[in-house]
Amino acid sequence: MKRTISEQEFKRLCEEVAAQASAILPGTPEGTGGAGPLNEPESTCLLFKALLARVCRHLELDPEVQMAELGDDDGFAVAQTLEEHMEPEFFYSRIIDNCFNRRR
Amino acid sequence: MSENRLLAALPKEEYGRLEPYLELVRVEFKQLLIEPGVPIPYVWFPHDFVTSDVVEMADGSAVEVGTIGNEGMAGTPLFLRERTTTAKAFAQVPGAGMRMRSEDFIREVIDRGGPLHDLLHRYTHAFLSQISQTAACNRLHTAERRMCRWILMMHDRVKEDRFPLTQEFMSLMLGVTRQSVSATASELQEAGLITYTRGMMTVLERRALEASACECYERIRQQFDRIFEDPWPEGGVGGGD
Repeated sequence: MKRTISEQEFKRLCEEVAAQASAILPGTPEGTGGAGPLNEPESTCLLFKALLARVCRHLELDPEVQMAELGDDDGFAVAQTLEEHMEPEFFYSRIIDNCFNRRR
Repeated sequence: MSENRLLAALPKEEYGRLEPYLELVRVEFKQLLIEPGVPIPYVWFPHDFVTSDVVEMADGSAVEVGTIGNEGMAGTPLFLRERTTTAKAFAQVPGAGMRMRSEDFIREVIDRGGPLHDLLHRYTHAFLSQISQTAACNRLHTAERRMCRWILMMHDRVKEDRFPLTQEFMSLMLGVTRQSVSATASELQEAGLITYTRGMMTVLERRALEASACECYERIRQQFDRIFEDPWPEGGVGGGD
């Protein structure tokens, strides 16, 4: 039976990643004036990688297989994995923004 | 030279003057380029990434008001001497591009003037035309015709027949539910114009898409093409100011 993810479950995973952002990210990107993590490609990539790993663990999927099938962009892989497994449907971008755009 | 059409249109000497301030970067899916109410840190010149200007309402609903790709620059509010803006700009299609720090842009392009400054006046007009045309289109045209218009605009900017496009974003862009997006995409797919599988849009029949799109696509495209067909119509490169 296909595993699913709800809005609350996804929110919890985002909050987990956001809480660990200081460990995941190497430091405030230089030159952004302390901007949020989604302002720089490296930090965007690292956060989505961490989020994809958690979403895949929840859905019992292999993140490497998801990446291989969905292209080489972690953020897109997260979005598409959600679109295929969320139940009921929800707007995930808003949750991502709310969690990751809290300014550090 | 740059793959961005604005930068590629510059005279060689002018591009050489600005090149030390331009940084080649990879832009990731969902990467935030401009945040509402936050000083704009960079202006961006996409090569093959595409960014959307999105306006969000207090209840969380949102709609796309502008699309920027290799024909333009993200950061026009800064060009108009506004350090902050109300719309959010983020990458819808990842890819490469160039960015310039705001301080460098203000000093080297706005204050100093020159060819890029002149070109950006015309670009800003075309971009405003795109926004007003989109507003009219959203009000007057069907979801199917708007989807065709929007797929064509993306196709022009990414320069590939296949590109990632989430259903969530299409629903925001078209102002319809995800079920409607799915139904409209299925109709276009059945007609053999596109394939849309696992978030990947593939353009199969561009001419048929053009025929199915509303008039807005052609109007917007012509507005931008006019800039690059004759970048300085009054003669005298950089002589506008």
